[in-house]
Amino acid sequence: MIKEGKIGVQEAVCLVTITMGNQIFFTAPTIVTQHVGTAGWYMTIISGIVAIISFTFIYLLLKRFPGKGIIEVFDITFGRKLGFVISFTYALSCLVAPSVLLREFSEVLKVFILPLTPISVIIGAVIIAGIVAAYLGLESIARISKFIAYIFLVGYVAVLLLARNEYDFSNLFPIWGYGIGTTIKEGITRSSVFSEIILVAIFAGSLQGTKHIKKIGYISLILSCLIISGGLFCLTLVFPYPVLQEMTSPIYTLARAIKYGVFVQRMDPLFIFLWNITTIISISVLFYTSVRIFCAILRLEDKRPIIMPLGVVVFSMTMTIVDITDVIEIYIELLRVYALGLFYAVPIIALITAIIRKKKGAEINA
Amino acid sequence: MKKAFDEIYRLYVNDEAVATKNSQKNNTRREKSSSRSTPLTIEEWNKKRKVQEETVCQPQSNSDAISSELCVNLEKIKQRFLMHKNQGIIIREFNIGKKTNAFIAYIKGMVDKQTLNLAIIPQLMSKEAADENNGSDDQCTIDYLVKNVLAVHNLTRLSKFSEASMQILRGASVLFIEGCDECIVFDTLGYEKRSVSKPVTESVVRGPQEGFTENLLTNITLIRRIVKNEKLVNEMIPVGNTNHSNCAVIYLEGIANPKVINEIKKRIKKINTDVIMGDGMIEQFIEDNSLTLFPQILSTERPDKAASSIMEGQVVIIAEGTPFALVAPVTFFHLFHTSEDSQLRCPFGTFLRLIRLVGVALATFLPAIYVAVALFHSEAIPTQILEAIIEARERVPFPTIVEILLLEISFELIREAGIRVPTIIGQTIGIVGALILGQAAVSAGIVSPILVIIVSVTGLGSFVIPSYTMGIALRILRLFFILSAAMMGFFGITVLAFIVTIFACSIKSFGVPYFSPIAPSTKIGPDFLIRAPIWMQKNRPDEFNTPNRKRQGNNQKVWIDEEQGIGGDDSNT
Repeated sequence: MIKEGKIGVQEAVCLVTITMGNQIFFTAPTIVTQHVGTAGWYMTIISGIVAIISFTFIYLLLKRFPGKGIIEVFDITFGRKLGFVISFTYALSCLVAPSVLLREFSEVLKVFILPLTPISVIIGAVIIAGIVAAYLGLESIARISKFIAYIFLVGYVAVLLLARNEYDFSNLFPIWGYGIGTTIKEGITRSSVFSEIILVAIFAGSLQGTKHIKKIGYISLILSCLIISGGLFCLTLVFPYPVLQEMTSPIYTLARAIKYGVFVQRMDPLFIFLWNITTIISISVLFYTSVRIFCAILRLEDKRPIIMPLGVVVFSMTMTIVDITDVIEIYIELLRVYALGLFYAVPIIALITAIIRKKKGAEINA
Repeated sequence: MKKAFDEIYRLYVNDEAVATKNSQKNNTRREKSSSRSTPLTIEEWNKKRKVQEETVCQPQSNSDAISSELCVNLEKIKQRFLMHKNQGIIIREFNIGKKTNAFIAYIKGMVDKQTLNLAIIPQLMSKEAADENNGSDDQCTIDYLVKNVLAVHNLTRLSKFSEASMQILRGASVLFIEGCDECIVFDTLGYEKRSVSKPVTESVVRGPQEGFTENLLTNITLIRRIVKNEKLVNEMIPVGNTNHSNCAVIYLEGIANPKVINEIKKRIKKINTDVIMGDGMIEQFIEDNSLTLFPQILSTERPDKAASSIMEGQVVIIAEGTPFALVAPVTFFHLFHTSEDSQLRCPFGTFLRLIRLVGVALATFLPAIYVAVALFHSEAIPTQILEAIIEARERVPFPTIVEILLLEISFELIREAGIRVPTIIGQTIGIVGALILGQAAVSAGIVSPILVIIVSVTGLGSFVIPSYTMGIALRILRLFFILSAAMMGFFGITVLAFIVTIFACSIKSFGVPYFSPIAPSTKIGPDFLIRAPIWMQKNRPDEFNTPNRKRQGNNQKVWIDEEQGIGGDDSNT
């Protein structure tokens, strides 16, 4: 197994929160509004609750195997062969996820900011950053997440608050959206928006104990839920929901709408910085996760030989996607549905299997 | 008658025989004696003596011990210092107390002649120097000399030749005495050195105005003068296999982390090179990551800053030959602290620190942001400012990137020229470069006035960075940021910022993460970014993991509580 070093609670929380919360900058608010209308902001809370419940099972599973990541746990509970298949699926989804995210990001960036820049250049630049991050390892990615988290939080809240002149509370109505039933159903289905919480389980071996896993998981989910829900709430306040349903990057549009006198207006540069850096962190984390899983399932002790090839794979996959419509209509929808089963259901099955087969890890004395 | 005659004859004959016999004996003896005492010629005698001396004074090969034969030691000194062609070494032979042969060896120009002429040689040559209780001339008198004759404050006894030789090289005088297998080292260092003066690179308004010099001992003294503590440890470690330099590792026992101390000492001891010219070379040998732009060791010219670092639990390394001290471990944020911060009240200290951070941000990002805005994000600029920029750029024939690179390179040229030229015309270069050249460039329509402002503000920003090495790092980074901005605007800046920051996050300075206490999280002290009141700074920085965290008691709280009748408890450090 590769040596990753240990990361603290705060770093882990920042890493997972940025990866999950970053979705607010993309088409997620648009898709949510398309499904539930004005109820998006509290639908996210429902999704958050579902994710917290799902995480509790993940935590219970990890608690049985102290000091082990979920990939090692799969090997123990399901056996080597089935464990390999599930872990491989995890690794593949961790390769697909950054590709989809990167394509979405590049498309939006090209539309709004860099219309003349070839998309391959944008994708290539982010992949290089991801490769560098993967070479430097989890510790460095976690540290930069912590470092950026403060800037992200301040910048994000600033953008939301500075748009208060545009707030119109009548936009919140109809408050039930497309009906409470639809909202709850969508809330459960779309709880996979928090599926990146699985990162806590994958990197459990690098965290400082089972107690910390619990803390990290719950705090990350609550923070991400607040970030996404708060963002959706402000977006709903600013844009009537039929308008919001048509936007490619609502937060970017919100930042552009900020205007205080002649000088303080069009705050999109501030947003661009936040958006770019958090997206690069998210892509780096997901890319590193795939590297980490591949190393685990292939029993590699050095991650370096597979970083560059996997980088090329991600680049190719990103370029394979035709356009942003494909991203929104096919890939994101697929990821949302499959993520639910893969990242929430499989750990629950693993837990049940572990209980039935009486599999348990050795106690670790701190 | 005849009988008497015969008797006389017989006696005569006997006498004759005896006489003959005696004479023969005498002749043989004389021959023998004459053969023994025949005087030699001068050449023969010299030759004989030389052979004898050579056999006695020939140094035993590979032996590092000091011989009790004076001539052996003399021969060794001559051989070691190549005296047949080396004129630097002086050997003064004399008799101690007009009895015992001795010689003193030193290097011309490196010793204090007054001490030698007045306090050492006269005392040794005086009649009182002879040990009256010592019956034999061959017996060593070193104890007697040390205890009764030599009125010198600092002397040591050595028994190894290599050590004695090193002492001579560093400016000491070494006394060898006939019959003694030890030598006496007099601390007679007296070479020319620069006196303590104002620090050139780290000026402050409020605070001590003295800086380090090129002399190692002076620098150690400057620190010891500030940290008057018996636990202030100064360990000398030899570095440089050929130039035999020294470096001092200074720390406070019980305050500095022992792991860090051992790591630093280990790395210095592992240096295997022919020459160490100063702290900069040591820094390069012992730093964690050589290829990164960011300095992982702080270099300071100020004894007070070095002393305060020691008090915070850091370790100071001073090398011979440069007026700087190295401080390790260090974090990114410590590189922006100055010694003046602690001398000023908290609002002023905080204000200056924030100004410095603004300066750092401007020095790194301002030109790149300008390029990004001008080329990719012109909608981000308020309309009136955009109009002003476009108007100013109307006459400029170059693209923005060429224009800014021209000015940036010119500015770097002016800065470098200002340092290299003599001080008197250095200022002139600055004025000529900055004012006349800039004005002329604008008048000629080569650059836009707004860009001159941008580059000037960037330059000012880079001047507020207290660490010289960090300043250079940011200047280099600035160029890369400009290029990335020219290629991909804000996106390019962000990608590069991510790569640079994640590299910095991976750096460690002697085990201390570079971005601590933020990433990874440790307890953020009140003297981190905002400088809290001095009495609130109760603990040493958490990131250095010092064995003794507590720095001070409750201070003001004690007397405020006393005034209010609560009664304070001031637990000491």
